[in-house]
Amino acid sequence: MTAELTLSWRLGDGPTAAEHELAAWPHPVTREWAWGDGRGTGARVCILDSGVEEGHPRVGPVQGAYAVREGPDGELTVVEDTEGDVCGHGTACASIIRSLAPDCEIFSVRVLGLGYFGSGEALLAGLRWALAQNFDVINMSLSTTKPEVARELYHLADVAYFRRNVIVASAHNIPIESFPWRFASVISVGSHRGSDPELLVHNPAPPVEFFARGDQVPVGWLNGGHMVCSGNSFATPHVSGMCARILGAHRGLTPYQVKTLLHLIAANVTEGT
Amino acid sequence: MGRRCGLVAVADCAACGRPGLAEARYCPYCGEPVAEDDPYETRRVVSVVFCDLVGSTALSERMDPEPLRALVGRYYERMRRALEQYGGTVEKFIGDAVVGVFGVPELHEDDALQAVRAAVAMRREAEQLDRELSGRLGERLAVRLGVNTGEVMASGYGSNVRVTGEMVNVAARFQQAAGPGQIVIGAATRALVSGAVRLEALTPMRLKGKSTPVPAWLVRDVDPEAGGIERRMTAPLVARETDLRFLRNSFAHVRDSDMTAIVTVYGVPGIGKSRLAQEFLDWAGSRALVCSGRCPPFGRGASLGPLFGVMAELARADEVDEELQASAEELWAGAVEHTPEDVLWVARRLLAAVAAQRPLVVVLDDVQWAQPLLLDVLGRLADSLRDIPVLLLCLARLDLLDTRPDWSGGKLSAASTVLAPLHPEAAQQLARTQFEVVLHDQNAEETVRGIAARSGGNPLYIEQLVSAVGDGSGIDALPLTIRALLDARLQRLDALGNAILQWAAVHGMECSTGLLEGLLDATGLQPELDRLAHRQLLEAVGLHTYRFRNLQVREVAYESIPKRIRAQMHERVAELLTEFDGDSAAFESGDHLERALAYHRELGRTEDAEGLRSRTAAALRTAASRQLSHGDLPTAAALLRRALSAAPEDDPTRSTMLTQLGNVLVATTRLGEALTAFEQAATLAEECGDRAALAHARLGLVQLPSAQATPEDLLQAASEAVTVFTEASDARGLGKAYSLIGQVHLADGRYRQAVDAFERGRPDGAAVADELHDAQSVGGLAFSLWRGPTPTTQAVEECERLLSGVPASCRLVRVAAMCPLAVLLAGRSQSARARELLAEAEHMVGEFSHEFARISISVFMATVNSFAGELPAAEQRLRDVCEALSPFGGAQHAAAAGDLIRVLMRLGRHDEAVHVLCSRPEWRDEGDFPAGFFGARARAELADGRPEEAEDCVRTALRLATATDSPEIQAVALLDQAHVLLALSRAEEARRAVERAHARYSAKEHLVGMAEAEQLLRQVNGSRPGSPITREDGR
Repeated sequence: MTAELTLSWRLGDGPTAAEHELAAWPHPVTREWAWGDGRGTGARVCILDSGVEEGHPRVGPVQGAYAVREGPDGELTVVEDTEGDVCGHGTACASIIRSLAPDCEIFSVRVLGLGYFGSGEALLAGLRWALAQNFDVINMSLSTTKPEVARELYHLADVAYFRRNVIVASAHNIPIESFPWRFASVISVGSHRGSDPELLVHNPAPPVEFFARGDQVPVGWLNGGHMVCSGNSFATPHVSGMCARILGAHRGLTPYQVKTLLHLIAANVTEGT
Repeated sequence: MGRRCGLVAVADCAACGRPGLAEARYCPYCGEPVAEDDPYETRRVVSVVFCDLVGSTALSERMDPEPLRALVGRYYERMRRALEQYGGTVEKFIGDAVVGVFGVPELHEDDALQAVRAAVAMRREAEQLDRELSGRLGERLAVRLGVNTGEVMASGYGSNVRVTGEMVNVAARFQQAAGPGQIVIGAATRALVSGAVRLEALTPMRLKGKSTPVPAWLVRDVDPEAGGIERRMTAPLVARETDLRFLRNSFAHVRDSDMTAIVTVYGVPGIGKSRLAQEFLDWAGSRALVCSGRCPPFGRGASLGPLFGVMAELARADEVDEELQASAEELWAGAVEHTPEDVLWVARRLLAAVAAQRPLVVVLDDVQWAQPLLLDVLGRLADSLRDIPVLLLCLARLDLLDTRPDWSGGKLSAASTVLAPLHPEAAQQLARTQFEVVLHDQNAEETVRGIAARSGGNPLYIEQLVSAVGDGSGIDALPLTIRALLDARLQRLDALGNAILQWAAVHGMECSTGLLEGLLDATGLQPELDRLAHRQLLEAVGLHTYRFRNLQVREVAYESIPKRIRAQMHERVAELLTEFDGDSAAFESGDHLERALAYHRELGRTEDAEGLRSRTAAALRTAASRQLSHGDLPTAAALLRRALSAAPEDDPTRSTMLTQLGNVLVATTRLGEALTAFEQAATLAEECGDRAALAHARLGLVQLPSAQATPEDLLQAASEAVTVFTEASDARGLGKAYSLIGQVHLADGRYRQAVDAFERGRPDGAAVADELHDAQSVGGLAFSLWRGPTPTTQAVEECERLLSGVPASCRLVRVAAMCPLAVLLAGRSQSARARELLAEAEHMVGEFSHEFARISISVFMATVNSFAGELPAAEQRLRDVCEALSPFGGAQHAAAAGDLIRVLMRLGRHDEAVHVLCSRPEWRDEGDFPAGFFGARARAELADGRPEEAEDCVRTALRLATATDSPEIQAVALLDQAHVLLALSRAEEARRAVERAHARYSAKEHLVGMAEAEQLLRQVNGSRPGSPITREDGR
C-alpha cells in the first residue's frame, strides 16, 4: 500500500461502496457510549517521535518499532529498529496513550535525530510510511516551521484524513505558526491546567481544537524510569488515547466522525446537552 | 611576560618538560639551558598540512645522491612556495615530508580553508613536477596529503614556529591514509571549510590511540572565492526591520534626489550584515540594477580587484558602449597598466551610463579587508559622481575603523549603521526556525533558550550552535567555527587589549576597572577598555565594571591562555581579590585558588599544587563561614567539602572543618552524613592529639539522635568539654559546651538554669564565630526567657536586647531570637508585631533549606494565631507541622499534636481531636512526651468517653509540669485539668485549678493566659452542680 489516494468523483468510481455506514448515534452521546469499555482494543496507534522504549512498565508491549534511516545514497528509508528511544519523549507519549487505552496496539516510528530535534525530510518519510501502514491513530507531538516541509505535510495530512487515519497533532508551546497542527484535517491539541487525564475541553476558537491534560503529567521515561513533564507534547497523547478508545469501540469511523465525538464528549460541551 | 602584563611566568624546560625555576638559567632536572619564557606561546586552534612524497624510497634506490638531492630540493621549494602562497609557514621537513602550519604566528579565521587551498596547490605543484621530470626519472612523482585542525600549544615567530598537540599526530595519520594525489581532512577542518570545498566522505578511520573511528573526507576541489563557513542565507531575517528600513530609505533618497551615497553597515562577524544586504537586494532588485562584489580576506589579491569585478559586471549591461566595455574588461583582466585616475575615469563613465536609466545599487562585502587604495578610489568615485542615483552599500566589520578611522566621514552623502546583537526573544525565534522539526516539550524550548543565551544574539553563532545540537555535540562546547572567528578577532588586538581580555576572562564574565588595573599593574586602562567596548568585545556595566559581550568571547580569551599560565593568573586574581575585599572575597578567591590547584594537578606540577592546598582550603573555609553567617547551609556544606578536598592530609584544621561540616549537616537533617563527619573529625583529632578539636567532635557526636544520650550523658559530656575548652582558652568551645548544658536544662524544663548556662556561654554577649551554634545559644536563651519564670515584660526587654545585638546579616541567629520574642509579645496581646516578626523570620529561612527552622517557626506562628483567637489558621499550621514531623516522631511531634488537639477542642470539633490522638498508637502509651501533650490528651480521652484515662493523663501532665519551673506549662496543665473536671461536673475542683492557673499566668504577666483563665472561671461559676457541660467553652 502506498501513501497516495485513489481518487473518486462519482458514486461507484471508488473501491469502497457507500453501504457500510455506521448506524445512528444515540442521543445524547455519552462518554460511556463513545469510549466503549475504554480499553481501545484493536486500535492501532502509531507514535511518530523519538522512539519508544520496549517493555517499559508504563508502556508494555510495543507491536512494532521502526526508524527513519539514511541509506548509502542519502535516500531515507524506514527500517525496523532496536535502539528504542533516543531521548525519552516518545516513551512518555506512549505511556500516556497506554494509560488511557490499555489494550490498543502501539507502534513507534523514530523520526528524530539526536535529542529533541529532527529533519523535515525524516518526518515526511516517517509519516509517508505510517500512512502506508494504515494506522488508526497517528500521534505527532512535534511540528515544523519550515515552509517546504509544511507543504508536503499538508498533502499527507489530507491523505490521512481521507484514508481514515486520524492524525492527532500537538500545538506549539509558544504562539508561533508551525505544522501540522495548524491544518484542519488533523485533530490539534493544546494543554489545560487540570490534572484529570480524562478531562477534554473543546476550544471554540481554533486552530487548537481541543485541550487535554498537559501540565505536570506523570509519564514513563528512559530506562524504565518516570518523570513529571509539561507541554502540549503530553496533552496530545491523551487525545490519541481517547481516539484509540473511540476507534476500539467503533471501528471504521472517519476522522471527522471521531472529531465530532470528541466534541460531543468534551467537558464544556456535554454539560449543556 | 609581554602579553600578560603584570605576571612573570617561569617557562617549563623545553627539553624535559619539567617546571623551571624563576631566574634559573639551567633546568634543575636535566641541566639543559632554559629558554627565556616565550612571549608568543599560546594555546590556539591551528591547521596543519602534512605532505609526503610517494615512492621516494624507490627513487633513492635508483638515483645517484646528487641528482636526488637536487630533485628533493626542487620538491621542497615548490611545496614551501605553495604553503606560503596561502599564508602558511613550513614548520619542518622530516625526510620527504613537509609539515605546514596555518595559524602561527599570525592567526586568521580562514586558516583551515587556506590550509586546504594550500594542500590543493601542493598537489598541483607535485603534478607539475611530475610532468616536468617523469620522462627523465622513470618513476612517477606524487604526494599524499593530510590536513587537520585543532588546538595546540603554539610558540615561536617568523620562520621558527613550533606546534605541539595530539591533532598534529592525527594530521600525520590522515596523510598516511591518503592515496597518491589524495588529500584527507578531518571533521574539525570540514566544519571550517565546507562552504567552499567539495568533499567525499570516507569510511571513518581507526586510528592508533583513538577509541572510536575518526570521520574523514577526501577533498575533491575547492572554490577559490567562497568563504569556508557555510552560511544559511535562507534563514528568515529576524528583528532587522529598522535596519532594513534604513537601507530602503537610503535607497529612496538616492533615487529621488539623483545622488550618490555611500552607506556602510558595520557589525561583528556573523551578526547578519550579508543576510540583511541580501534581503535589501531582493527588494531593490525590481527597483534598481544591483551588482555586488567582495573583498578577499586580509587584503589578498589586487588592490582594486573587487572594484574591477563590479565594473566588469556592470559593463555587460546593454546601455554600455563597446569601447567602455572593452576598457572595463581590460582592467578586470589585468591586461593594461593603469593609474587610479584611469580607473576613476572608466568607473565614472560606466556608472553614469548604467545609472542613467535606473538607480544602481552596488554592494561591497568585507570592506574591512579592502586595501587603502580601494577605499581611496571608492571615496573619490562617490565624491565625483553628480546627479547619478548610485547607492554604494559597504558591509564591514568594525575593524575597518581601526585601519580607516575616517571612512566615509566628511562626505556629503554618507551614512552608516551598526548591527546590534539580536535581543533574546529574537535570538530564540531565529534558533527555533533553524530546527526543522521540534518536539513540543520543555526540554526542546530550554535548548532553544540556551542557544539564544549562549549566542549572545549573533545569528552565525545561533546557526553553529544549532548544528552542534544536530551532530550531538551539544550547546555547551564552543563550536570550532566560532572559536576560529573569535580567535582571529582577538589576535588583532594589541598586547594590552589582549592582556585585559585574558585577565578579565580569568576573573569571570565581568571585572571591575580597579581590579583589572591591579592585575595588570597599570593605571589609566579606561581608553583601552573603551576601545574593547567599541569593538563589541566588552560592554560597560555601570561606571566601573566591564562585562564580556558574550560567553564565547570570554571562553576564547580564556582558552588561549596556556594552562600553566592560567593557574598562575587564577592565583594572582585570588590574591588581589583578598587584598581588595578581605574575607568577603573568600568565596571568589577560594574558587580561583581551587582552579589554579586543579590546573597544577592536571599538569602534574605537584610542588606548585602542594603549596596551594592550604591556602585554597583556608579561603574556602572562610567562604563557608560567611555562608553560615548568612544562613545558607547547603552552600556552606558544599564549600566545607571542597575545602576538605583541597586541604593537605596533615592540615591541622581538618578535624575542625569536619566538625563544622557535621554541624551543618545536622541542621539540614542529613544525620547519617553528619555522623560520618563527626567520627572522622574525632579520629583525626585523636591522631594529632588535639584535645580541643576532639572535644568539639565529641560534642557533635553526643548530640546526634543515634547516640541516644540521656540528659545526664549530655551534661557529663558538656562539663568535660568545659574543662578542656577552659584549659585551651577556647571561647567558641566554651560557648558550645554551655549552650549544650543550657539545651539539656531547657529540655528538662529547668529554664532558670538554662538561662544561666546560656548566659555563661555568651560572656560578652557578642556573636561567636559559628552562626549555627550562635543561633542555638541565642535561640535557647530567648526560648528559656519565654518559657521560664522571667516575667514577660522583663523577658521581652531581654529578647529585644538580644536581637538588637545580632547583625542583620546573621539571619539564623535573628530568627532564633525573633520567634520566642514574638510569642512573648503575643502573650501580651501584641499579636500584630508578633506576626510581623514571624513573617520576617519565615521569609529569612525560606531562602535556605533549613527544614527544622521552618517547622519551628510554624509552631510559633500557630501559638500566636491561637493566642489571637485565629483558630483555623492555627489548625492549618499545626496540621502542616504534624505532617512534617511525622517521620521523626518524638516529643516535638507529640507537643504539636497536643496543641492541635487543644485547638480542635476550642473549635468544638471533638471527634477530630480524638482522631488526631488515635492517629499514632504510641500516643496512647506512656511515652516520653511533654506535659502539654498529656494535658491535651486528657481532654481528647474524655471526649472519646474514657474518663479514667483522662484523669490519669491529667495527673501525668501536672506531674511533668510541676517538674519544670515554667509558669506557663503549669498553667496550661492546670487549665486542661479544669476542662476535664468541668466536663466531669466537678466544678469546685475545676474552679480551684483555674485559679491556680490564673495565678501562674499572672506571675508570668501573661495577659492572654490570664484572660483565658478568667473566661473559664466564668464558665465554671456559671455551671450548676449536676448539670452536664457539653461544650468546652464559649468561643
